Amino acid sequence: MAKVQSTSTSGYGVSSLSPSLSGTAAGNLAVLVVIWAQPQTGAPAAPSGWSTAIAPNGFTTAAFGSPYCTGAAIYYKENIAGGTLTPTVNFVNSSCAGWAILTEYSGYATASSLDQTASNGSTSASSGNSGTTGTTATANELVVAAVGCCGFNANGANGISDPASSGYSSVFVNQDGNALIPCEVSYKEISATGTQTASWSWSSSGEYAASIATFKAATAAASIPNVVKMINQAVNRSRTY
Amino acid sequence: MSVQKYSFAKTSLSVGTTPIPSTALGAGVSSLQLKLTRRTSADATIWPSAAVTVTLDLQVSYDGGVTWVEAGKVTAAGGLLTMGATEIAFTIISFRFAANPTHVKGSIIVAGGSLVTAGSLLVN
Repeated sequence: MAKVQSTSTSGYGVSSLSPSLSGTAAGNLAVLVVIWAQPQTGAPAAPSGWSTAIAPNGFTTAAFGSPYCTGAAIYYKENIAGGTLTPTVNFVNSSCAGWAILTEYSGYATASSLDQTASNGSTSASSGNSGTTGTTATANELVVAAVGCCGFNANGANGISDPASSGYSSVFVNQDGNALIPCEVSYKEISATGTQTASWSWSSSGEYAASIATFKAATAAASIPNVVKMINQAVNRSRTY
Repeated sequence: MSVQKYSFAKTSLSVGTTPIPSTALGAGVSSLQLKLTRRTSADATIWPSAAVTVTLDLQVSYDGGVTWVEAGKVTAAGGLLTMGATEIAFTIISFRFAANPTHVKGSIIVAGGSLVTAGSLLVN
């Protein structure tokens, strides 16, 4: 199990984002985190062919009045075909601020991989967390957590803790709140069942939205190609010429 | 990698696709950001309509321009954009690459009508 590669696109005053990864391997798991701030609530729909792990409505930005909001959503695509992967996120509003962070992971289940999710947020805070998931079903899982915070009301460095606490590794961070919404994405690979959460702090009080999702690892028993490979190896060993 | 900034004065963009030719990047480039001015109360002539969109579609090369891969695509709409009482005078489109590309190329696609805008390109 491993993080393979990651990329992102973002915009301010945009209607859609399409990050693209090339050279992806067939069978891997792709996770798309979308952080947005827009003049109305509502998460974007999952890109075509993708599934939603968690996509709650955003939290209203107190600084700019209702219904301005910030949100964090996690989408995923199992068993990717390999090659180039370019999901498109269309925002509810045509002039949105947002990030789309696309990451490829290896070693995760090619079907029914999504296990637990949670989300959290506030209209005014200088620290926050993702909420706490239910207990994970299996020991070995991928945990992806993301936060967007204090959109537009920070000047320059936003000071988001990176990576999230605790035990996480950073996938992505944007500290610049002048124009593009500050956000952070972290991941970790766990080896025991349990509940999962992630927490962050930042330098100025404002709204935030955070989400977390866990994905099950591939199991050897589920790997039919491996079984076929083992049978072929056994057949080859027993051949006499 | 030091930040490189290229500015362009107010210009008119017509409906259609304008190619961005293959351009060599400096060593260690990991991101690119395009900033375009947009309509404000003070100047309603700049990119005035939300029906007019600009799409930046980029490809990058990691081997000196021999092979190319998609880097992504972002579409932005014009019109007046406010955050509370504050008017936002620009749109930003940015890309962070999976690795350090040697070259970039692509296209700018204008749809829904022509527009006038100015801007800058930040390479970091």
